[in-house]
Amino acid sequence: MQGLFNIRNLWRLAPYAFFCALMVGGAQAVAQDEVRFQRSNHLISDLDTALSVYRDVLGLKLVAVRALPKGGYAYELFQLPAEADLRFAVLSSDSQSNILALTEVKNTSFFEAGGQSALSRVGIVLEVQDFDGVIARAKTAGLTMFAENAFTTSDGGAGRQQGLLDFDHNLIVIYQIIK
Amino acid sequence: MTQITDEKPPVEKPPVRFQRSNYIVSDLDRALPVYTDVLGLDLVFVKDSAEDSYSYEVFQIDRSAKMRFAVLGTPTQPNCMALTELKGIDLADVPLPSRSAIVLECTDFDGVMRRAKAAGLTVFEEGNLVTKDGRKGRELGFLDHDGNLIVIYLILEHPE
Repeated sequence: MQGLFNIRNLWRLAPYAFFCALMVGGAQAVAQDEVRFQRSNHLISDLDTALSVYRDVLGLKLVAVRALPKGGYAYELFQLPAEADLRFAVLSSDSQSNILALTEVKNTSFFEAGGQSALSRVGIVLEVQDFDGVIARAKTAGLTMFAENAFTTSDGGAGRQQGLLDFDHNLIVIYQIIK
Repeated sequence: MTQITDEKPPVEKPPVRFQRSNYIVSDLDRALPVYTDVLGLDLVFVKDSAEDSYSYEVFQIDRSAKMRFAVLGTPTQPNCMALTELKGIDLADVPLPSRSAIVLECTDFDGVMRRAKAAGLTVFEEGNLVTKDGRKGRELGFLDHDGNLIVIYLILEHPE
């Protein structure tokens, strides 16, 4: 996945700047966690269409888009055919750099061959503040929408949640804490 | 689908915030050691899901399935990962090509790789990581027991 990781230089800049500031100030560096969740990555069939969901509907920020080199590590990891053409997009929220990636797979029959079963096997969960706005935009975009659902949190809060599928049937659940 | 709040009000929240990724697994007791013992994530809690859990609808799960839900985190990223166990239905392995991945930065790269192999997981060949800004490192992919893709990486060299 050599190419997939090239994007990370972007989000690395901010921590380095912060780290350098600490060094100048004489502070000790904070120990790094042994493991750190970097991002989730969905394969999609068309990046422009997918961005209309993750950027325009959900409000994530597009950080970068680049083509991935043929034969890169992504081909092995995802078990993709060699003829496939890959593009890689990284998205962030205001407080989370590069938390989501979209890998576009073109020039292969993978998606046409029904590479997705009816049962979703993975989902991402996003907290949103403009819940109704997201739902309105998702409906306008023509996404598959599940019914809204009310929930309570482990600490006694309450909120609303709703699931939707992007154009490649990747599951997205949004929620908003009401109280 | 139970929501777990991570952040304390009244700090102004961003318009959108990534809460977690969630993989479906067929046996939580088998899956958890991969994410805890192999990868080093912390198990936050495990709970039986309610019969009216929203996950049934959004994941399109047969209502006859019994569901358990586990949440995992890191010291600085609480609840960043979840596993949903389904019992009582036929849950085939995730088909290839994989449709999604989680990517984790691991300081004990060799330890994770060794433990993944010892656990009998499908482990891909290690890749050389060279970033656009000249950083170099290692990366490795492997599949959990249900075929969910996990990618770990370690940065070894930073450019001057």
